[in-house]
Amino acid sequence: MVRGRETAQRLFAVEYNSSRFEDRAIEENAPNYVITPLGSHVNRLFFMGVLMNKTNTGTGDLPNFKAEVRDPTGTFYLYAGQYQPQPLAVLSHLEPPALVGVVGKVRTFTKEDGTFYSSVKPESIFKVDVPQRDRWVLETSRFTLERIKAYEDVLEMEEPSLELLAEKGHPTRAGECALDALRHYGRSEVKAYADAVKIALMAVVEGNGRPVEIGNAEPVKEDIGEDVKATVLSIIKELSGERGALYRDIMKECEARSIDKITLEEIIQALLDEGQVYEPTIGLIKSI
Amino acid sequence: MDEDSLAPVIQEIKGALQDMDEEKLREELNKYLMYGINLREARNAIIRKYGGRPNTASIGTLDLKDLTGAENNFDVIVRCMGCSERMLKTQNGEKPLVIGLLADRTMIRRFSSWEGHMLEKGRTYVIHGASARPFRGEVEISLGPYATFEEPEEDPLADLDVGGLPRYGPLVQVKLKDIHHGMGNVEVVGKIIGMEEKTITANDSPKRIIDGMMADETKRLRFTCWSELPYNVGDVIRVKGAYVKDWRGIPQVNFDERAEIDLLEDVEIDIEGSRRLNAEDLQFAGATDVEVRGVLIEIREGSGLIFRCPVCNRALTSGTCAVHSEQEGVPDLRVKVVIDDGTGSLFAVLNTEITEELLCMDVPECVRKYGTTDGRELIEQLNKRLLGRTFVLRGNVIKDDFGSTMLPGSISEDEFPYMDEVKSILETMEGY
Ligand SMILES: [Zn+2]
Repeated sequence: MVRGRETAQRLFAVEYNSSRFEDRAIEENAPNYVITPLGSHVNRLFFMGVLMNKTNTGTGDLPNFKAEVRDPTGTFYLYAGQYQPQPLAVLSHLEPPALVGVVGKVRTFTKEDGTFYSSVKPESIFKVDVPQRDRWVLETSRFTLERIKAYEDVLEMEEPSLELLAEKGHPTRAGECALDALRHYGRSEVKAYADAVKIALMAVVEGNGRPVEIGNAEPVKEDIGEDVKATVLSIIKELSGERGALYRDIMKECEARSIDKITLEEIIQALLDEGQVYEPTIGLIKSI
Repeated sequence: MDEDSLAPVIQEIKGALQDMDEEKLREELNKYLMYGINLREARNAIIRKYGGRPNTASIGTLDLKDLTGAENNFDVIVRCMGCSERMLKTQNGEKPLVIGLLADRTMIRRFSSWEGHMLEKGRTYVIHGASARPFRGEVEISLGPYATFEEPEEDPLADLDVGGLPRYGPLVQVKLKDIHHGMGNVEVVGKIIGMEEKTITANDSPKRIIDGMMADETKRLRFTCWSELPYNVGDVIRVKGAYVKDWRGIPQVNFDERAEIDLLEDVEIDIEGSRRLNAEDLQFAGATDVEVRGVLIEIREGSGLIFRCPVCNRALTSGTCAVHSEQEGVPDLRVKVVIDDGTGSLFAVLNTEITEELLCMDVPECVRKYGTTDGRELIEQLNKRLLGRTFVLRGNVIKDDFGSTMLPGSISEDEFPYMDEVKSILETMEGY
């Protein structure tokens, strides 16, 4: 079977960030998917928004960027390492705030307590103008509403099926989403996503083609820098048994030195990308 | 008369009467037969004798093709080809309705049951007490409260090949936009806008089929022809006796040697209105002269200023042709892109003319400016000019083992107005 290229899903940040499940490939090189509350299977996504800030968590030679891109409904969190040369190059030059488009792959992280985080590994980042962003909002609204409507009809059906959804005029792609939303999230409230669509569309009307006010842009964070990374690396080495160090223990040790969890996650990702550490099994980190 | 041929009749009688002992019935039946009464009359007499209604006696085993829609209480020997239950709103509230398809050696027909008779797909049944009724111009088998089911130990239809069976229902003429899942016997007229031959494995042996796309004024649809199709792209054909199968959830026209296929030489179809397609429609199919609107989300390796082999026209890598080794390359421009409209994703190769137009620069000028560089600057230019922009591409889509590639003859940026639609969606959302 020919596996098509993964479609770049259009969805708002609020839907993406509310995801709680993923479909993780067992085979190597098979794609991973984040399953959103509206049932989208997201492997690749495409969005536009305001680059709010960027942080270099790497070094001058080996930069690693963390960045936040805000759409009218929430924030997408981006992590770009050395295997994302184009985004790295753009992020090292572009000063926030700036209106950007991002094509990226899903990146997930599950905390010890089970909290699921979905962020983005960008494939490309580019500057866009307001009409482009507005068109993205319109298209994303259309796709989001399509999923909401199919899901609402699924909730009405005793034995929902693609066929019944097709009879009601839902396109197959929306029908599949609706069935998956039900399968993974059960019967849930989706009003928040309809509200998000409204907010996004209203922002377009209010902006009326002009750049939107970005008053609440957070200041650009200081680079984490090499010393914090070195600290984390030494902690890992210190804690490493024969099989490596438990993520949990690393986290505790880092907390004691006031390195927060998100920063730690970034640093470990950076170390993984640089090949300084590896993950023999999930939850274990070992230095090379 | 040997015992075995009596068994089905005894079953029929049992089906019409409550709680009768089989041995007793066999005795009775033999008595009638000894008096020279034929099997059918004997059966009816026994049913009458024990208080059954003769018209409830089965009229025997019928072939699906012989049904007219007026028959009551007959038997069929069939394989279930699919079965599903759905809730139907009736005057008395919601009721479950089972619908499905049955096949015997003569044809395939629809069945329905309000009694919740779910049949297992792929299993063969002897069904007693079925009735036939007209439904939407077709004959449908109805399985009512008296229907009974036997699952024969040895499948009498084990060697049945349902692929070639005629479908239920009379021939229905449809436009392509009205094609939907489960249609059995349709007549369509369409222009072939793309076709490719491929070999698949069916019943352990290779079979040549034709995958294509056809269009009328209402829609473009994929088709699969399971037999020879001696026509070409651009021909208008009429297919009588096609059936519809879903492929990845999208209905697709299927036909084989049982269909009547004609070339309509004097017919021209205006397919202009159905030119625009979603990327999802093209992701796995070839097509001629179609249009897609999507966002250009990636510029791929091998784009920009390239040098071609003067012998075979292949793009050289580091001055070397894969076939003709080192060559003095002929400069050319192209852009390999990914177009994505949110429903699907397509590769497209933008040719020399289009690339020159997009860069506002022709090949000689490009060579002067970038001929001695590594080309990165030119790619940067292309990225800036193209990434994230919406384009309408028009051209042909070819399909190979790696998916579909569009070769647009023209491309234009689509800066479509959006404010009106934004406002009208907001109006429709007042209920939320
Ligand atoms: Zn050559």
